[in-house]
Amino acid sequence: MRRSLPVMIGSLLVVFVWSFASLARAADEYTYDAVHSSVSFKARHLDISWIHGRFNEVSGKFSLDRTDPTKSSFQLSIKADSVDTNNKARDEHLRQPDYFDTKQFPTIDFKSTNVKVVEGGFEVTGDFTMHGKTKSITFVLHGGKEITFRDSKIVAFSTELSLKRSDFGFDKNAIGLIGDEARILIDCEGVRK
Amino acid sequence: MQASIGSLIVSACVALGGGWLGRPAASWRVVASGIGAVGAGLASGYLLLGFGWVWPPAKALDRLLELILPAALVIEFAAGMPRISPQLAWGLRIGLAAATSPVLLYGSVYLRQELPEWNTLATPTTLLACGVLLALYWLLLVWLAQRRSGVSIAIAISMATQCAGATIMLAGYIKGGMAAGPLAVTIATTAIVANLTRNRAATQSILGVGILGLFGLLFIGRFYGGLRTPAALLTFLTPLLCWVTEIRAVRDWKDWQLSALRLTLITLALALLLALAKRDFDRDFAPLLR
Repeated sequence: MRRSLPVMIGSLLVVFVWSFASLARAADEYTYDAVHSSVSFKARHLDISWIHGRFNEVSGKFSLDRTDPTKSSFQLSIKADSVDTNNKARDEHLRQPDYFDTKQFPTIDFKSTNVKVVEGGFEVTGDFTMHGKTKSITFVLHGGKEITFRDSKIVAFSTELSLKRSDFGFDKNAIGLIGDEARILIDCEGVRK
Repeated sequence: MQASIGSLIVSACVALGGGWLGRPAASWRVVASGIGAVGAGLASGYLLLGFGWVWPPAKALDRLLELILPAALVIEFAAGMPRISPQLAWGLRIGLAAATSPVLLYGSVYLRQELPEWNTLATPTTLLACGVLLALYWLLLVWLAQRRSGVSIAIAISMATQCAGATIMLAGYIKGGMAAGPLAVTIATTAIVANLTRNRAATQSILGVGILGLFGLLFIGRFYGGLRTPAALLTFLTPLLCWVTEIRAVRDWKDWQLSALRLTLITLALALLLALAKRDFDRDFAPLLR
């Protein structure tokens, strides 16, 4: 009995530390699921129609803190070279310095700095870096409900935001036929085991 | 067009003013007037084009206009000073030639080694090859200019620069192509005025700026734009056709005949390169503009 007391105290201590660590690690970490996600965009052509495109190589991670959502974070990194508008010549043109300048600025990045809960999702503010320029942007991410599918926890978000290419140092001579405004549509899933 | 006209007027005025003020002409004052004319011509041209001062220069074209070309102007000015020996001047030129490629590729995927073909062996080899090519080219054209004075070499560089601009634009990089205009016009104007005012010592220093500008634009067009290696290399090498006047069969011709021969050959070669660039444009990009 005397020998079992320290063992019991030790066990209680381990359980206490484990529970505390679990509480402290309340944020769930998700990895961007490239198979079930897409980052696409559209831009005005001659001010009468829209040209659609997408980025085929995207990575990211989200951290969702259910107890204190303001501690959640979102990160996304897009390979600018993976631009795809279903026209090889146009894609080559978009990779050049008048547009994305993908050899100089290979990625388009977003990193959240502030997260607020709003109805139906989160209002996210963060640093958006494109073409070597960083600007703070705010948008609403719809979704956030977690489901379980074949042992994986999945969360999904979608958003649509509008950016002006001229705000990110795109050459003004390349803004004309293609409008200054670009609308970006993000539909993504995050997965954790 | 407006930018090129601006460069022409400003560089001509500065070169003319410097030429007259410099008389009796000490060689360093002649060089200074030429360098001043080139600097003023370039500054006014790029200002009219709307190219603002960007600091730090994150893009290759900004690094060419804000670091490489000003460094060339300073080195050519220094090279014209009486206290600077020719060996030191060439040492500075070779140093700039070696630094140009790494500066233009700074921060890009090439130097970050994010491309499989740009590994630890290929990257220094490519940079070394570019530096050697540029230094040899510079040496060959300046040597030729010393053997026989005149403006045809500067005009050849100017024509090749204009052709490089059109080719870069046709390959899809509009701003890169536009940057060629003020450079081409400034080099040609300053060289012509320097020759007319008999300030021929300035021609050699003008050549240096022109050579670096031509190399830089083609290098950017190749590594950042859609310009293909053969087109970039052939456009760059075309002014070396000026050496054709050193072959025995034509060497004793009159100066104007030799200049005409040089410029005719270069015009034909550049016209062929432009026709090929136009063919590629019609195939690749023209359908996008329909």
